[in-house]
Amino acid sequence: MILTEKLSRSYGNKQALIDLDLRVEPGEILGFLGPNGAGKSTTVKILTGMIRPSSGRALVAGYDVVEQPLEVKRRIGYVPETAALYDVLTAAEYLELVACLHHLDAKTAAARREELLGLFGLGDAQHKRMSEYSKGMRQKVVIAAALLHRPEVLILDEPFDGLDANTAAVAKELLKRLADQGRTILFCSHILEVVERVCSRIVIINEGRKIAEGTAAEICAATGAATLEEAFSRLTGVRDVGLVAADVLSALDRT
Amino acid sequence: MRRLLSALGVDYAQWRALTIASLKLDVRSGGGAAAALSNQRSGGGILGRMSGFALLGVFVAIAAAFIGDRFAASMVVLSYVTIMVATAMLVDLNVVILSPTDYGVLGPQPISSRTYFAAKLTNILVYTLALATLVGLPTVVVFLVKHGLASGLAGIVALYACAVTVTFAIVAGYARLARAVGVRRLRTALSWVQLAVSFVFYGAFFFVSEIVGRSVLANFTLPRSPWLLLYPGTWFASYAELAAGAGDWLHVAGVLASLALMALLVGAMRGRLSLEYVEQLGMLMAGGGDARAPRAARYRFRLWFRAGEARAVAILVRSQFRNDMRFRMGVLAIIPLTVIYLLMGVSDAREAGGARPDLSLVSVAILLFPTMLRANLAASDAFRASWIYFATPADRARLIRSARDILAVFFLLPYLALVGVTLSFFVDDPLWLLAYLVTAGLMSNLMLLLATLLNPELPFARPHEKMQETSRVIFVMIVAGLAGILLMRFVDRLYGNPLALATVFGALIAASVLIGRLTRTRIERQAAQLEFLG
Repeated sequence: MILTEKLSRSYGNKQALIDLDLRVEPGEILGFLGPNGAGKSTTVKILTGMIRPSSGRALVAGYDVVEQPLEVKRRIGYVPETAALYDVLTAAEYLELVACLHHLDAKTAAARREELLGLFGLGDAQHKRMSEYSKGMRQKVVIAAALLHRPEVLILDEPFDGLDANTAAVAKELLKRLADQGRTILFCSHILEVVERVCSRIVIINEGRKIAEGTAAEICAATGAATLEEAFSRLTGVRDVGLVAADVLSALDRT
Repeated sequence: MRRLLSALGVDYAQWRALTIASLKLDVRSGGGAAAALSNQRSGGGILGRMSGFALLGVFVAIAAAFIGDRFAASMVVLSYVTIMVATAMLVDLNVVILSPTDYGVLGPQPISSRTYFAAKLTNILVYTLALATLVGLPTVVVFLVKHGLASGLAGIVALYACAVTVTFAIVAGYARLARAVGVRRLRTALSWVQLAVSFVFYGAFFFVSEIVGRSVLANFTLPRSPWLLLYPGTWFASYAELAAGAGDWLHVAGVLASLALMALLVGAMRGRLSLEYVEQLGMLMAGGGDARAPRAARYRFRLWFRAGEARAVAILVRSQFRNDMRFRMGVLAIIPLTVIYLLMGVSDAREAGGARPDLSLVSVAILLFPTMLRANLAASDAFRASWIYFATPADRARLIRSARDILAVFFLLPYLALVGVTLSFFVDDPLWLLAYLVTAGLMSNLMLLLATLLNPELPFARPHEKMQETSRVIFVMIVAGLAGILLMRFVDRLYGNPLALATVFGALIAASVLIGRLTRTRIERQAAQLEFLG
């Protein structure tokens, strides 16, 4: 599970995250939403042990991310927002590297690599350098790397970015089944329809603070909105989207 | 190895995997637009660069063979090795240890700080030890033949001990600095440290060159003074003396000092430095930098460059210098070299007492400065952002030419002005000085044009490649050195003959125009084929 208590992080004078309390139970997929700069990436980086919180506490799979970062990292699978990869390695080599870092034995690593890359349709391309891959292919490699060591907790930041419709559908189904197996999943995305369909519960943050929590229906009911998209706009303080679009158009006409 | 690393708190399996991966990355990483065009694997580029260093090693060995005093020969060679390793660390590998770029990929993996640090250090050591081998090993062979087996073996130990010590010292320096000043001020602090360290290392280089240059090699000996111990090069040079059974208290003290330094550095590597390494990277990655908003730069650029491409390159160069630590450190590493050349020129001018001084070294600096800057301008960690050159209607040939023009206007001309003003205090004949500066400026511009003609590159559009900048610095130094000596002979001979001088000026201008045209045609053809490397 994932648990944060009064988690805060500041960059200089800027408070990126303020007293965030979060709880994601095993078997649950939590949708973690917020506008750009709301503090989602900061939260994810803290949970993955890449940066430290300024104050507060975060536990992942029962381990403190500050005190026991290696134990946390052994138990998480992380799909970052941008598919950060070593371009000149092949997908097979990259997964082999990740397997070594997780101390998987060579036989298991090879079997899982073949299986995952095959399932994602990269079996034939696995020995090509990733610099030759499309955005979607790179994203598949990142997802495969996150699943390679069978993690207890999955932290996914825009995991469907770049995936074709068929692969995205498979990935959505995969997430549900992983949750059914008892894995804890934190799911960050800007595509609200997907969040609504995949996640059992949603947390929305804005300017570093949690501003809503519940199922999609609960959040819609609390804000009096018909859709999650509308609820999100109301909660994050965006004025009428039609008005904003009209203002942009008139600015383009002026200059 | 497994036991040693485990004792040091390093996970052997992870260290091995990371080391293999980093070597694969280095060997395979891009060889620039030209390499992409020719489908050339960068492995060939690395071999070429290594051959260059090996050739330098042979020259150093020949010099060592002619030095009668074994201690002096060891010191000279180890000083060269120190300079080469330090240059590689300062110019090429400067931010490898502190770069958070691959932390984005490896950060979420279960790697301990110490293992991560050990893998990075190993990656750097592979290069610095290879460099030390290429530059120093030919001399070891000379030692084996000339001074016997014991001296040769001691030479090998001294060579690698020296290279490892320099590498550890610079890494420890950078890492300690990161902790001392905090990550927010790290980028600025590193630039200034880079500048200071470059002064020290290049200063030492000229100290050694001066000693060697002014001595008859065969009779060159070092006085056995305790003051020698102030120069760490003598510590490692003492190994061969002791091994040959010719050592005295000075050499014993030197060896002890080197061992103490190594123990100190190894202790530093094992201590807090490696434990807090990942934390520092995390802070660097999260820090977001201290980018300052550009002032009215774009308006100033408009005065100089009217074409959109030129203004774009000018804005890019300025903002990269302010915000890209690696670019700024690369540029700042060049300044000490040119300033030291200038100071040596001033020293010669003072010795000449107002008469025409020998400005060969100043000439080298003038010829070197813009060409070396140009090399720095092509590579960037942000090379993927160069998609904008390919996705907009920008004229790529004009972008390449603009980068060259910006170097000439913003770097070469101010540098010539600085040299002119400085030397005017020491040279009585202002016309001679003017003739010299015009000739040097024209030749430097010609070198810049030639460099662009031979290798047209878009600004900040290819990834960095390890050791590429070091080999370029060495190559350009050799070419500029020869050209600088020729230049002085030119000016001195022709100054008394205004017609001949005017003819040379005319020829240089004509050659510049001709090469400019050739470059334009070639660049337009090449630029059309350049492809995005991201």
